[in-house]
Amino acid sequence: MNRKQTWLLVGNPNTGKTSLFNKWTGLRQKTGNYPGITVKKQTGSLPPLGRLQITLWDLPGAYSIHPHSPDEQVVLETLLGRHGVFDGVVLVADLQHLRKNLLLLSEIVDLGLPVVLVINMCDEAARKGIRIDTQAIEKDWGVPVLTASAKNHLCDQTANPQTLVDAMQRARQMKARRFFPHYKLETSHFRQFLQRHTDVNAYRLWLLYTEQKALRGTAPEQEKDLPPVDPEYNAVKHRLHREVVLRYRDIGRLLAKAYAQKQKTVHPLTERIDRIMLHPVLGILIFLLVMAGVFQAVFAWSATPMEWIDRQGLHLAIWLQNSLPAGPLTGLLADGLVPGLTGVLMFVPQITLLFLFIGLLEETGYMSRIVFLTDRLLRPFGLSGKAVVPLLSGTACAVPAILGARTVENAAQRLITMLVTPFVTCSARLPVYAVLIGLVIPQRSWLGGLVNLQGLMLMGLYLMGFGMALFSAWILKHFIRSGYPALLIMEMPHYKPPIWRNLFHTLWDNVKAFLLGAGKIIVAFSIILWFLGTHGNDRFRQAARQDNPALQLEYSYLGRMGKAIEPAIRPLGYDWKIGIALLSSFAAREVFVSTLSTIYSVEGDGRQSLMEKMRNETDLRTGKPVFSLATGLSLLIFYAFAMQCFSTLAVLRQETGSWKWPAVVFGYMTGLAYGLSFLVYQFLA
Amino acid sequence: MKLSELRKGEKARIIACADDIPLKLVEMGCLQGREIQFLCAAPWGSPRYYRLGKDYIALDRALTERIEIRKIHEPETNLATRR
Repeated sequence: MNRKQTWLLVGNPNTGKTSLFNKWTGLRQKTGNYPGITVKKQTGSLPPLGRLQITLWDLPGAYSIHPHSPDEQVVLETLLGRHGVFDGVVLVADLQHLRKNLLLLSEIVDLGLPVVLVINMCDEAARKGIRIDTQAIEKDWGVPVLTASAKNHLCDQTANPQTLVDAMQRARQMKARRFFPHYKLETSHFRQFLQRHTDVNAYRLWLLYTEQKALRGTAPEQEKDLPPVDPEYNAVKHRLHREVVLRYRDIGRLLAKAYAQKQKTVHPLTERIDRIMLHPVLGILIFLLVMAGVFQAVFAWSATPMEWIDRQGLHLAIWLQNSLPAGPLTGLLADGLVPGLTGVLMFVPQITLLFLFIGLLEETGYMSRIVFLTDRLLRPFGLSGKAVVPLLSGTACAVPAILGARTVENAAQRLITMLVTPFVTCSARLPVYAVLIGLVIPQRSWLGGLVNLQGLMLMGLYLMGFGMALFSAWILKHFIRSGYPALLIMEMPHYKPPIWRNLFHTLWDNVKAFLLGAGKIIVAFSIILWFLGTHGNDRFRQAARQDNPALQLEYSYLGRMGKAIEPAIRPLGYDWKIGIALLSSFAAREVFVSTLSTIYSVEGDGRQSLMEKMRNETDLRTGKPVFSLATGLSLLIFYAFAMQCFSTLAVLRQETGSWKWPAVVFGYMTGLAYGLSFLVYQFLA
Repeated sequence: MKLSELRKGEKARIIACADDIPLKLVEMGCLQGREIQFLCAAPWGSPRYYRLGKDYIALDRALTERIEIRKIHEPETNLATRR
């Protein structure tokens, strides 16, 4: 019979925990979300050994069992068994920061759980003159100790998975040391609580007692008996500080026996690099250059592969049309399914490039410097410094940008980042802006052509996008709270060369998640939209026989929907033709231009002739031109703020785990766009 | 003196932390007797960058007002005063 075990992988951030996880589990990984929260849940399995099948569960990084962020709260909840049963814990520590890492170990040991200590980055030991006596730790604390390295190094005892599995089984037999009972931290109030539950681990009770605010609502039936809000709460806070101090005292005693460092590095490399990276002038300059690089990559480098994918999709569609008998099924394949799939695959180059950059920034340690430089500027809006990268890449496309928000650890800040990113002016809005600005904004320039009214309008639209993103973040900040204090305390990791395996894993993870998650929804949506645009009643079929694409579109279901919403968009200055273009923009905003071309029966795809037709278009009721300044500006505002992209909604659905947030974003953005466009049109008309 | 009063490059030893500092700061190693050095501040004055023992840490400026320290004088300056 096969035996299955589940082990948790925990550790401080920046200990290389995920590197080891990737090394041990390879591609046998699964990604999911914890129910209701945007914290990623990653599991993977060790290669099967005999009859024992071990699943590892990579938890978010945590400095302590006492949570200071939603991520760390997940760690506490999981360790208390609130997210499933497990057999033990593997704690990854970093050789150079052993003291800080052992704090979490001492807490987990107190919970009475079987623990294996894995000391990572052992390859650095010789270079840094560090000697570590793993036997002494094993004997003193009663936990198995292994050394490891994500690079292939002789000191890596976990290179053979059997060693790790043996250590796990040994941990289940060994009796680890307990610290908590010696600390005498109990308040009288807690002591009463303790006496009522003599059968439960004392430290577990201490956590239930001291973290009752964080744990509220997650307790299973048998633990509902939490003490009421504590009259001695201030005393408890003091005791929690004391607990940490005492733990560090015990850790110091252990390390005095087991840890020795010969030479002391006086000016480590990190400090020297940071003198440049965090310099008030040079540092900002480098930051801007790095951001420009990310922007350039997502915007320009992705263009060629995207065009290639687009062309291949087109070739495939044409080939299908020519080689299959004409009929509804061929139409579905060639005009519905293939363009839908192409539309999904088109995002892959951007996502890959963005995550390559984010991965590099995270792996090298520069991401923390970005936070350091920008935190002060973004914090008033409820965003973390890490939101800079997703917000900026939103100028290319919101889809990779929303995925990029995964880099923000704090769940509340991550959610806010994802929700406001669609306001940032993406590249799909650009063709729409170009046509509308060309149509209604006069060509006027000053200072010998240096300043140009049309250019100013375009810049204004970009700034409005960023401004509205920040303003909305500020509003959301008041509704989405993490409940954890906001003052920045952040470890600045050492600079180090990237581990390519980790980069590859991040890329693979995100591309796979996008294709299987949001991809499905995007394909389904585009088939529905294709159906609505190419089917209709008798008059539609009549138009089809006459081969009149303009009439065909008018009498398709989509066209009839465009007409149906005319009363609603009249106050914004739009007629039913614009209504159809607005609806078909849901496939991608730039479709606005091609839809209008079809409606106005523009031959070929010349933008110039489209603009002429649009300029000559007159309203039958008033006899005035349809595309007046008022309508044009109102449309520009509408395109700047409205949520008109189902790919973005699909990816929001994937990342937040429900349709609730996409619905909120849709309602908020479209409502805002409607209101502002209404004001603009009514004011100008 | 307070940690916020330390000038760039200066080292100090932590004497005490206010009771209301976040637990996380204590967990990150902000303990009595530890050596701390102010490396630099962000261009907007906050956060601030410190070396705490062997670790590097960024702190909001508001937090540094709640940490009591004693400045460590560099050996060179000690020699200079002795002469």
